[in-house]
Amino acid sequence: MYHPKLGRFLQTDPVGYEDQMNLYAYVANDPVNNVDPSGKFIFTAITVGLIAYSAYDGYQSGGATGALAEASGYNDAMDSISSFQSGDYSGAAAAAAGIVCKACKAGNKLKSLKNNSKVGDIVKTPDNSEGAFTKLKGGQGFKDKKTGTLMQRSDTDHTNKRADGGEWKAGNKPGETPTTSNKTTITGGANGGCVLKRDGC
Amino acid sequence: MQNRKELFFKTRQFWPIEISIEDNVFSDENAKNQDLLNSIYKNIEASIEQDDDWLQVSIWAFHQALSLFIKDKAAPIFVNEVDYSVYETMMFENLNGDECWRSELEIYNALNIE
Repeated sequence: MYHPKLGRFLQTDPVGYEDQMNLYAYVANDPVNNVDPSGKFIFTAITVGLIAYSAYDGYQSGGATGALAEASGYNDAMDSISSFQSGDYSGAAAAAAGIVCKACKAGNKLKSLKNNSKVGDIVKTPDNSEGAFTKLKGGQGFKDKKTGTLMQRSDTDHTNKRADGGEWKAGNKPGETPTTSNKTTITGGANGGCVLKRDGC
Repeated sequence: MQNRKELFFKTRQFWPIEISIEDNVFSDENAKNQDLLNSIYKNIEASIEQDDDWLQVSIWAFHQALSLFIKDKAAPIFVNEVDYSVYETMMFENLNGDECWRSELEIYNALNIE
């Protein structure tokens, strides 16, 4: 019998395989236990905090598009750092991510991820429609049966503890494998994924 | 692998015998139940060798079959009630889903069910 509180299937490093199959994870997906000895952490964290504040400020002033752009900047900043998950900065991270998700859920309909999907669209993800995806050989991820979009799971979690299913990286075009510089980042979850940002398009 | 059901049974062993769900009924509205199923799948997937193509695709096919099986199902969910024919349909869908699976598809086609 499985019960989540018993953690019967919890692995010591369930995302270890992600480390090998994509380049988006950082500090071996263990930002809690890994540190940034280079000292860049403080600078980057402050930068993230400022971007997060800008996003929040933009959102508060009614500029949803601006807020999304700022929040995308926040995600980029988060991608570039190796250790960021504690202290006062987690509040800023949660605030910025909250802004993104709030904007994403503003009346958008659930649809398939396509070339022209925009930041803020709510799209189907493997988390809520297993039947819509076939598994690819060799740990290459999944293929959307309708659109041909290739997707990989990413355990980079910009919000620290997102409750809606983590993140997925998708190729920007059908049949295109997501890469560091060419990808669409989507949240997972039973209610559909939110397009967080798009790179290289 | 001697036959298709051998892979099916081997795959099933990775899953818990019984799955506890909130509200005693699995529904699309309950995101926590979906998350639970996904987390089980992700942990199983991560525990399998990445180059074990047969198990990787089979685990996904079983996940798909299980997801269909438990829709609007009342608790408890017993994994051994998942229909083999649904699983097999999913296996063929996956193996037909990408040309990289061609050799596996040919092997799978040639196998007896049991």
